[in-house]
Amino acid sequence: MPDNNKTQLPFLDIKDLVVEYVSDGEIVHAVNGVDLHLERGKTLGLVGETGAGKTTIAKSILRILPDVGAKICGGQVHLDGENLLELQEVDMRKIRGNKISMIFQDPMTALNPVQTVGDQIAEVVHLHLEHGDHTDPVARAKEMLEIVGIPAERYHEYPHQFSGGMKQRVVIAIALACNPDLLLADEPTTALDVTIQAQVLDLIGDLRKKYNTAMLLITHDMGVVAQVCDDVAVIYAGTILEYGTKRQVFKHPTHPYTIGLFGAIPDMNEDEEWLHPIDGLPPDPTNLPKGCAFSPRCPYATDECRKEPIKIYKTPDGHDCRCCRMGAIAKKEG
Amino acid sequence: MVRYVIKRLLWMIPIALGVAILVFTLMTATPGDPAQTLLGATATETDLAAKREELGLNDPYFVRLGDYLTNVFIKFDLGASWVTSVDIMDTIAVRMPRTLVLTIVTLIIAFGLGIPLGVMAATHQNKWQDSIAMVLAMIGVAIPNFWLALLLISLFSVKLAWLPPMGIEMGLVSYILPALSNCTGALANCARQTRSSMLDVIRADYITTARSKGVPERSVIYKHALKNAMIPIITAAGGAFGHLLGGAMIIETIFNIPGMGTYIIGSLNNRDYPVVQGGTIFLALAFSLLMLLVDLLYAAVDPRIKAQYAGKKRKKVKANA
Amino acid sequence: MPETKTAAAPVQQKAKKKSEFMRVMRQLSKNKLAMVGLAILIIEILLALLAPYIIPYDYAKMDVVNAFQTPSAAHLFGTDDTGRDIFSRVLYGGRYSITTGILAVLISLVPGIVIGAIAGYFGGQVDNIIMRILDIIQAIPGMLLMIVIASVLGPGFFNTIIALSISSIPGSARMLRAQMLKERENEYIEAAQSINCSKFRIIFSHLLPNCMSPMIVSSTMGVAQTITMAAGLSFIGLGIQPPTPEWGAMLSDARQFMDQAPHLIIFPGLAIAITVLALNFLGDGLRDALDPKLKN
Repeated sequence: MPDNNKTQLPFLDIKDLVVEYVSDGEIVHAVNGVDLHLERGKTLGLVGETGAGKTTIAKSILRILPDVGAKICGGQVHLDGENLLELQEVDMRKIRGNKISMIFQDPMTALNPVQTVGDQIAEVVHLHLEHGDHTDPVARAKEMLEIVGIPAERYHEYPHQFSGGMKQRVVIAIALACNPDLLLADEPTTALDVTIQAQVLDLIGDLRKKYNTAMLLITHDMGVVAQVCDDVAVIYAGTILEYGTKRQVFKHPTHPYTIGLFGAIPDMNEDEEWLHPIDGLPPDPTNLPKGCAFSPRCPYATDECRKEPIKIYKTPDGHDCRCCRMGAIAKKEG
Repeated sequence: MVRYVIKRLLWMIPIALGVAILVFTLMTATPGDPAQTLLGATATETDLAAKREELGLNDPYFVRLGDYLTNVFIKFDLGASWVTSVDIMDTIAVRMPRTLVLTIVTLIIAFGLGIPLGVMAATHQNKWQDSIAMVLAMIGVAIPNFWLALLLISLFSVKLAWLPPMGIEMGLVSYILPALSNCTGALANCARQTRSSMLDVIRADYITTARSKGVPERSVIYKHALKNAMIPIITAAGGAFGHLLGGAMIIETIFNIPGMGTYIIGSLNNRDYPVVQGGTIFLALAFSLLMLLVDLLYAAVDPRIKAQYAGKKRKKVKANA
Repeated sequence: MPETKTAAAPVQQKAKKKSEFMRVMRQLSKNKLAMVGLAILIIEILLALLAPYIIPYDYAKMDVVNAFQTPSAAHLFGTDDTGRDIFSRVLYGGRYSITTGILAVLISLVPGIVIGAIAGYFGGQVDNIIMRILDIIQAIPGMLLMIVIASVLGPGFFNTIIALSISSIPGSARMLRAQMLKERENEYIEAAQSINCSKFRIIFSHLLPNCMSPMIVSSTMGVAQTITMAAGLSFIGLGIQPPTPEWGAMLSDARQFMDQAPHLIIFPGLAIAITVLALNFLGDGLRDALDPKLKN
């Protein structure tokens, strides 16, 4: 691509990303042609069930998929006009933890148990001394501890001496120590107590505002999306089903799956006796349906849905929806 | 921590006592007359009777056991060899270091090669590097050390004349062949243990965290993963100590190293019981000390275990809890 | 309804045992290395059994004229210092080595299991005392303990077996105890206690069968280790004595002729190594087959 594209591309631009795993000789289609884009300072929520490929997308951006079996088969990931997938490993290393960093789901296992928390923060600063803004890793680590609300004296303590919420604060400190441009947050609050969840989200939000960091927030929790995100992408079986601003998706959920997701949240204003889960299970990723991946569970599916891959349609309010029966459903739901 | 070490050191006293009683009893139970062996077939009956009296063999078992334990644990006197009359403690002071040098050199070779081999196997799981490492490990376990010793001697000493076939006149160089012959089992076990332990660790989330920070792959493996994988490897090292000390017994006789192995085995043949007893007690103590070192190493690599040792109640050390 | 339960249990267990056995065998048959190991062992055992009928020369017959022959068509592995055919001796020697290994492990299993089961099931003071005694025994490096016991018992085939099995008791007892402690925590033991199952019954028909997997694996490996140790004992003159064609004893004999006839030391050692290798292949395969958790 010519250079003049640089200015036109969004800050983060993912095009047609395809990732496959090989497991027991079978090919797992984890991500099947995903397009995403994100501007500086904004937040994109990536919503979907476990196994939908959310984490795989994040790890593909950082190129830290497990060596064994996982392979990025196609697509482009442009950050600031640079295609990350074409970078040398050495150059990619300069980006990891520095320009892009990641917060992991389970703080209990995300920290190295035999290294002090301070050293784990200082390490990322130390690795990016050349390109980062900070000169003294230890001082920066202590500063970060204070920023996330942990006394700097605890620099020399080990992860097992911290609670789950505190560990997640350390993970956040590691992720933000080099003032990254992009933060990949993979279910950052799922493993935490409800009371701690809000604190952690607020903390992330405050820090992002300070450094104008963009965030890709992976979650299955619509409540978190409502609280934090600007845009929302709903992903199912490695494919984006619906994609728009938070307002568009929340106000006019169009894809049957998204509608189902909202239906699965109990409405506090009504006296509902039952939750409304979506019937069935996600499809076997080694053997995806030919047409719409959601069609086996979709109450509106017709033969047309099962014939061939569905393209993206524009909804009346202008966001994307991968459903060929969009109009008919809108009428029915009326 | 200090309390823990003191406790462990104190625990060695009953261990030594138990070993002393056990070996003394075994020696007493050995059929045959030591006096006969010591004086030879030509000895007269009066000579034999006198010798038996001199060695205290006529006293009842419990009296002799009591005397022996008093001598060893209160007077710190292992007695003198029945054959040479040389003080046993003095001899052990000279011979024990040689056995320890042999064992430690062996251990260094085994773990110096075994750990990288295991890491290579784990980082290349199911690829050819893995298969080769594991087949090598299997062969390493299967080769008897005394056979390898003979093969190495016939190659490096007889054919090539590079290394001395026996004795310890050439200092550390003399220990090369003995250590090489004795190391294969420990090396193989270490490689296998490292592999399986690393396989557990490199899938851990904190390894992904390290990669996401931009840590170079080499440091991910050797700094982050290996340190976490060390506990089972150290356990393997502890087990290896015992095997290597035992293996050293035979290796010493092949290479004619005047260490504890040749001392004890020679004395067994001569029915020189005090030597066997004293030598065994000392080897058991050395082994227990090394095991204590291993446990302290756990604490050095894993802060969680250190916290356990420091705690008032010592809980069971659980690897990688 | 304790009667119906206890009556049904053995039947169920039998059915379970059979299918479990089949599963393990199926799993094992998929493992190439384990199958190679098994094949080698079967061939070795057959050769050892049939040795008297198939060996080309009398293993004890001296033929001084043909001493120190290097391997040839007439003498596949050559001849030793007194002209005895090494091929015949190695084949015949398999009888001693393999029998020693298997018998010693089997004999040690009985007291090992009893001691381990008692310590593991009763726990508390009983366990404490047993473990401290084992601590003392195991403070002596295994090979040294075996050398001392072998020297107490004196040389010879059966004495060697006894010496080997006595020194492997602490290991198997400790292993079974650890397994028992783990297994004892399971709820089905509580269930058995609640229906007034006798302790003896709980140990022998509930706990032990569930502790057997690791014992089988470690016993297979134990046979390998015992064969090496037996050869080591014979090698230093404390085990089976020459002129018996035991592999270790043959090596011990060959040692003095190392510079003039290096082929003497190759074949007996190779025989030990191959046997041990085969047993380890099989043991590894069994471990994988018996413990689905350890797969991958």
